[in-house]
Amino acid sequence: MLRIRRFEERCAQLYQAEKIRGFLHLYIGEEAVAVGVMEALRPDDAVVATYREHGHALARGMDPKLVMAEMYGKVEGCSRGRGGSMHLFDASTRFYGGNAIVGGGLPLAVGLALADRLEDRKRVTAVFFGEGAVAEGEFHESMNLAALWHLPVLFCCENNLYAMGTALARSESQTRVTLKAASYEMSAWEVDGMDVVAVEEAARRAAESVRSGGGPHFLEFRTYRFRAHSMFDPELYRSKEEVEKWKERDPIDLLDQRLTADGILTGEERAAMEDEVAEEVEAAVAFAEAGTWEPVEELTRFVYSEVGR
Amino acid sequence: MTDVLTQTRTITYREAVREAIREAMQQDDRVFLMGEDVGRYGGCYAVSKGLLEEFGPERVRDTPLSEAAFVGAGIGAALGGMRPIVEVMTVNFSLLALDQIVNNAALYLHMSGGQFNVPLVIRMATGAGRQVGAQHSHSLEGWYAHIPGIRVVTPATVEDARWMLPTALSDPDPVIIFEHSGLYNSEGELPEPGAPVDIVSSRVRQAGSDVSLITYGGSLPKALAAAEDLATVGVSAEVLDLRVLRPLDTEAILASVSATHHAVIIDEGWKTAGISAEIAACIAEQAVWELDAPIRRVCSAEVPIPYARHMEEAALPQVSAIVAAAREIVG
Amino acid sequence: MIDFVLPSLGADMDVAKLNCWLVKPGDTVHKGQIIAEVETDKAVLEVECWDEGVVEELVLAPGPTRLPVGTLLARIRPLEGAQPRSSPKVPAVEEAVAGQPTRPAPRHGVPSPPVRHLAHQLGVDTARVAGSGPAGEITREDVRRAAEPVIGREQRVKASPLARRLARETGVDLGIVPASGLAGLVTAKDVRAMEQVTPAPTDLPVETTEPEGRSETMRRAIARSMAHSKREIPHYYLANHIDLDRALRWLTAQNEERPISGRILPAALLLKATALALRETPDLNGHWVDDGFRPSDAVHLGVAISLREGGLVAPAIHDADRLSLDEMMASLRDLVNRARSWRLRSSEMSDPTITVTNLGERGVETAFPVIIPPQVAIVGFGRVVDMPVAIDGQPAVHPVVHATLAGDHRVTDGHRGGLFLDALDRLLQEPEAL
Repeated sequence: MLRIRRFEERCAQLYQAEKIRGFLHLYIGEEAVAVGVMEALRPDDAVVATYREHGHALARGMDPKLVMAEMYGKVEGCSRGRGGSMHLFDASTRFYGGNAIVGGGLPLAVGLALADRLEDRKRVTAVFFGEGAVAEGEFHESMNLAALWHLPVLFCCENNLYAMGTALARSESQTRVTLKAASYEMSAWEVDGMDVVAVEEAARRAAESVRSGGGPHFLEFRTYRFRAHSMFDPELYRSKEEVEKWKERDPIDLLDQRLTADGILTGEERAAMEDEVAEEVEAAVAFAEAGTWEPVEELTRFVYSEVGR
Repeated sequence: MTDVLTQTRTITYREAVREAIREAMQQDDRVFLMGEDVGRYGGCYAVSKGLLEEFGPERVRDTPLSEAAFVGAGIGAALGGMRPIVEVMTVNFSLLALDQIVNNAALYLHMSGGQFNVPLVIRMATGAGRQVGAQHSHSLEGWYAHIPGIRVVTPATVEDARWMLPTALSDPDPVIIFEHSGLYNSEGELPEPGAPVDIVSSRVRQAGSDVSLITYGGSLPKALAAAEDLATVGVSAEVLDLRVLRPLDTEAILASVSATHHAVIIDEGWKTAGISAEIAACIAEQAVWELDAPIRRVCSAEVPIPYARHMEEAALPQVSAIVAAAREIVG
Repeated sequence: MIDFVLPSLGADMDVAKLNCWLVKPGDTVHKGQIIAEVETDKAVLEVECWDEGVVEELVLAPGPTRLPVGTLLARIRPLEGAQPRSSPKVPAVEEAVAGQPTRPAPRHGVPSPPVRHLAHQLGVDTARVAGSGPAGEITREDVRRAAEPVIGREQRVKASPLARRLARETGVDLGIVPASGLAGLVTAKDVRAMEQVTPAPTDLPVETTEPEGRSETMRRAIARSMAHSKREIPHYYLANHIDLDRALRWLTAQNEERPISGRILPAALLLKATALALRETPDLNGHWVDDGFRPSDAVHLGVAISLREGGLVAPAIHDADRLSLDEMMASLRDLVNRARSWRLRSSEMSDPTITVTNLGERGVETAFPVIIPPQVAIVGFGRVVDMPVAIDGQPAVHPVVHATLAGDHRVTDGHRGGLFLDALDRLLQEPEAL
């Protein structure tokens, strides 16, 4: 979580220095969800995420250097600089993006799970999406199809209360997200998304059930993003007091306190972690800074496959 | 017709497609068919009749009315190692899946910097002519031809209906096959034993020297009929079947126009900003010094396709319009 | 010292105003602390500090100036042991305060207004023209060259592209081809049906269809003709300087009132003066035929035009003495274009009664040309150069052209030739009468 936090903070600074361009959606405050769920997944499971996916990418095991280089737009980035912040992909960790259309990744996850089922593989496809996605038609179609065909999908809804600037109550007639899952005959749980231990427990139970043929499962993580939707967002839609209130349950602080109280983590170890993470982040930045730009002559590559024809 | 050297057999376009799907599923376990009413119903156009019984419900999957989800699932399954054939009942309903096709299927290879290709085949019925009203009569293959990242093919003959599918299935990138609904009943001669055909080149269906009739899909029979009519008044028409709209075989188009010096493009889509405009632009850009007259396009009238028969006929391209256009410019 | 600059806070943010500071010099600041408020077109935003330190100096005060992203706003002294982050480059304060974002200078110089105007007239996109002037500047000539279509400037004949191409390849004049195509279109069939029109005067056959072939044929013909001329015709040469100061001043004034496409070049003045001067010495205007001189009533000025592939043609401007200056200019332009695209008429090739050559094109000051048989004289004009002259005993610098006359001594002598050159000079001193 600390790695994600410091990485994201550095990204914010780099964006303001115009090293990172376009859109930047930070995961600060929500780290417990990605970290907890990834803990419960196996290396050969699949992950489909959204445009707020840096945390998921790092927690899944992607090299921060490749992620940072991608943010810079360098050819050494995980997507050759073709994607940017919203389109991180990694075949080696079965990380299927980085999808910028809200709800657009859900049908893909259904398909990945369908392939596993047809080939009789015991794999889980975890798909992350915000609570805003439950308004999209593709959400409902995907939920129905996954349940109807009994597919091994783990639906992970990250409910941070706001879809860009719109609170859930302003867009949904029924704000109990888990009831929507239940209406598709899918098992669903609400989880405290600020508590990484709770997240991991719930995800592990659900993933195991999915993996052993229990059909799709739905987890709703109650979480909060401490920063704006993206870099340019005056946050007119929520009060500073609300943000401060949620910061009192910062997932990193919560885990800190718990481990310290249990005598598992010392102050020194904690400081050492900060140093280690700082080094990693700086190494990633240095890697990105030293990276190269893809030659313009290559522009028309990667529209159609060059192999396998 | 059979001769000593080449065996052929008579077959309908529908049967040809069915055979193609069946053979593909027999030869490769990764291939499966998914779409609305492809199983129990036997397919809206009876293309998949009998396949459910032969291959079972796992590989011939009836879907709910959820175009976005099942086309997206097709993409996901392709990413997951399968070779799905997704059948969207008609191009009219494909609009519900446009997000998945344009934002995922077409873009994944590029956005991932080459890591993830999508070996998906989508088949759609297209076109008008049976008085089914405006919402069921679109020809939007020209729209799809606009998008880099996908391939668009339009089989018009039974041979192409039979043999384009295996090539499409073995392609590592998304291929959309448009089957004009008016062609399903058409009959033709299929060479035996037959082999997969390419999905990149056009074919001259009939050679001629005075004018190039450039067309594809459901309009091919009309162009051939027009060529016959033109022959009776001394105009030798060449009929070029494009076969593929993306990538367009510009070499063949330019070669034909360079020989005949006159071009008539026939397309059932609307004229404004359609694929006919793209073909005309290619000719004007690269072969303008070969043109001995302006280019002519015969397309659907700028109107939603009406129900009443005489109105629908007036809206769609007709043989007489093709003949008139050719005669006007050949003189 | 750490530079605190105006950060980029959004994909479409380029500038912002500094609304207020939330700290003052001497304050300690921490990472993540909000230390200023800025305002963009869309909203008021808080700006945070990324370092631990003490505010050293607030470089800019709040105000209404729109500052570009990256402007230096403040300086922060890092605390002992604290690691300042490497800051990105900062544009100079002066530039920032002036409101000028640093952007690279445009690559191509903008062509001068007259050149731009010409480009606009001819439909040329100057962004696509390579400049041949100093420092890559785009000149008028560059624009004119760029304006010539592949086929050459032609009248607006309605002909299909294929017909145009065939006409060019075979030398057919599209303007005289009857049209049989759609709505009066000249088609390939029509062009093929036309007899080939070859511009073929007695000694300059140009029948081949390939430009390379034509050029070769032409050179041989010119060689034969010139050899014949020097063998048979006794040449005498006369030369004169003509002060063009009055003429060019008058011409400049005239041209100011004309659109660019209608401006008159000095060449037109020289041609007109030549044609009129010949009226006074008609024994320079005509042909040597059958051992005798046949004077011509009309003055058909042959104009020597060099061709791109090499070689020379000298087609006639008919009745040059009767044309106005505007008509002369238009004829000259038309002739040059058609000559260069091999579309001359046979009458133009066989009719000249005298030839004028080397209108300053090649840069030589004085030309000693060879008479083109069966003509009996040839006039040459060199480059117009500025020379010192004496006006009322006072020195001045005027534009001067060297005019030369080569005459056939069988028909005229130096005295007659001299009269011609005098007349020419006199006429060019009164340009209004031309």
